[in-house]
Amino acid sequence: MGFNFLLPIGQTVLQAMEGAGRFALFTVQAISHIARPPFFWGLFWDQTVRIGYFSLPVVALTSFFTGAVFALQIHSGSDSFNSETVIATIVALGMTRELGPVLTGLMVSGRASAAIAAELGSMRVTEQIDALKTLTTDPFKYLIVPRLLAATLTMPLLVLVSDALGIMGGFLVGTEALGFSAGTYLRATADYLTLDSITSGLIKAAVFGFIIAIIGCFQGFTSKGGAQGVGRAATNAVVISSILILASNYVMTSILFAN
Amino acid sequence: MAHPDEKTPAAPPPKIEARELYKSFGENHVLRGMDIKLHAGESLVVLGGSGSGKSVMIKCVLGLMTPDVGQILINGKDVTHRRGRAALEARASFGMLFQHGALFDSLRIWENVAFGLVHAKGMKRPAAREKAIATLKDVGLDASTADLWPPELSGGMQKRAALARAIAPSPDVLLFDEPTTGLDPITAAVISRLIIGTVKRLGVSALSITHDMACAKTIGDRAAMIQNGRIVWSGRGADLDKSGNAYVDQFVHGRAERAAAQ
Ligand SMILES: Nc1ncnc2c1ncn2[C@@H]1O[C@H](COP(=O)(O)OP(=O)(O)OP(=O)(O)O)[C@@H](O)[C@H]1O
Ligand SMILES: [Mg+2]
Repeated sequence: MGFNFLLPIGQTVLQAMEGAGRFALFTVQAISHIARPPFFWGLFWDQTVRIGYFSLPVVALTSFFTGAVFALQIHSGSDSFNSETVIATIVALGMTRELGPVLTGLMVSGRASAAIAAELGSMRVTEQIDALKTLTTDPFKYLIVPRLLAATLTMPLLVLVSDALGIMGGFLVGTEALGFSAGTYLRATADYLTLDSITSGLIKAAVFGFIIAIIGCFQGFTSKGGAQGVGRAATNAVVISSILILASNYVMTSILFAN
Repeated sequence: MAHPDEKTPAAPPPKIEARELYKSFGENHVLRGMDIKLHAGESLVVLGGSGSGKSVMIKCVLGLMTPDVGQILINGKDVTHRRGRAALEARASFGMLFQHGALFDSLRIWENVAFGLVHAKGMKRPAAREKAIATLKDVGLDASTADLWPPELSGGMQKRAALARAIAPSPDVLLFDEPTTGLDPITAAVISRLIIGTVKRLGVSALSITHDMACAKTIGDRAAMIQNGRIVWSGRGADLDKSGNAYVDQFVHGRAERAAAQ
């Protein structure tokens, strides 16, 4: 009995593993439902509007100002020699490869992941999810698949918007505040902005969208304990999906840009 | 007349049969050998104190929980280990009224009532809306409630709407989880009568759980009492007052005394 101090550690590890196992099972189940009918188009469209369309303002503003401030910082940190092309290039690559997807991911995580967790959580604690089943409707198909697909498919579109506005923010700072020539700035952007940079960002975006929806759904689906439990589910959803976005971004960058 | 519990070769299997159900949550042993049989056309009421496992039992029957040990048979078929779609389909002919209604917040009242018609029966929306409004009228709700949202109804009205949602797809078994809890005595009596009226009108079987004696006497052809996770008494609903079982007596009188004191 000299190892009693190991007991709490063991229990925590076991609990974490059990949670991870349940999450993995949930994810597999969710994915397996995507391909099998019925598919609720109306709900998919609703979610696309809610997750994608309504996130446009916040994503646009965030990206625009980030692109702008990015340009200012590079300017103040670099020699003025050749900085016209340097700034244009760094803004374009930085936005499309990293900042666009990550910022959009974090913004949408704050909005959508929390909203999904809160909505499904309150459906769980008020037995609405049980009620769905008694009406012979699979909650995975009715609630989870539409959210999962909507988030995964709209995130790349949001990131395209984010890329464009970030580059525009940098462009406006470059031409209005720093006095660069618009033609040179745009040419440098076009020269260095490769298709690879854009597609890598879109791939990341789709993965982030999936993370946002699956974490929100899992937290909501497994929430218990009334209003407090629903609040906890929403908070957890934002925290966990944000961490997963940042961690998976690192992994994806190291894979996509390995050479 | 044969006793309904006796097996005659020609007799149809019970609509629902739960055999020796055990269910524990950690050290909390909730169900300990629960047996329930619901025959075609009868209305069975299961009584029991708060926390005695009534809701757990009905969730096992509905496939929303899996018993640790024991079997669930529906129309004589063992469905205990069915999962996903198969579990839903085994219960396609069930209608359930949840304790707090469990109406879908994101849908209007008529859409709630039409849900099973549209999604399980494949009915078109205009036809389903018409049937939903007719069903709302059957449970005493005006057609004007059809376009409201669930939070805009009172508790009693929500329960009626939830009852309408349960009966709209023409189930042949109805399940009720504490249909009268949280209602005033008059509304409770009205809902009880509405339930038994609906059950008899549609000719369906009904399994209800409650701790409301008045409700039990109104809606139960047969009654069963849960104590310590198993059935300790069962008999005719009308015999609850003269059960000869000490716990049932305590339950009947405890309730009666409290009701009188209020
Ligand atoms: N999902 C669950 N997880 C853990 N324990 C549970 C769960 N569901 C029920 N229990 C426990 O099972 C016991 C029985 O609960 P149940 O809800 O079946 O009671 P009940 O008979 O319906 O009571 P009431 O009349 O108050 O509704 C309680 O002790 C409860 O804490
Ligand atoms: Mg209960």
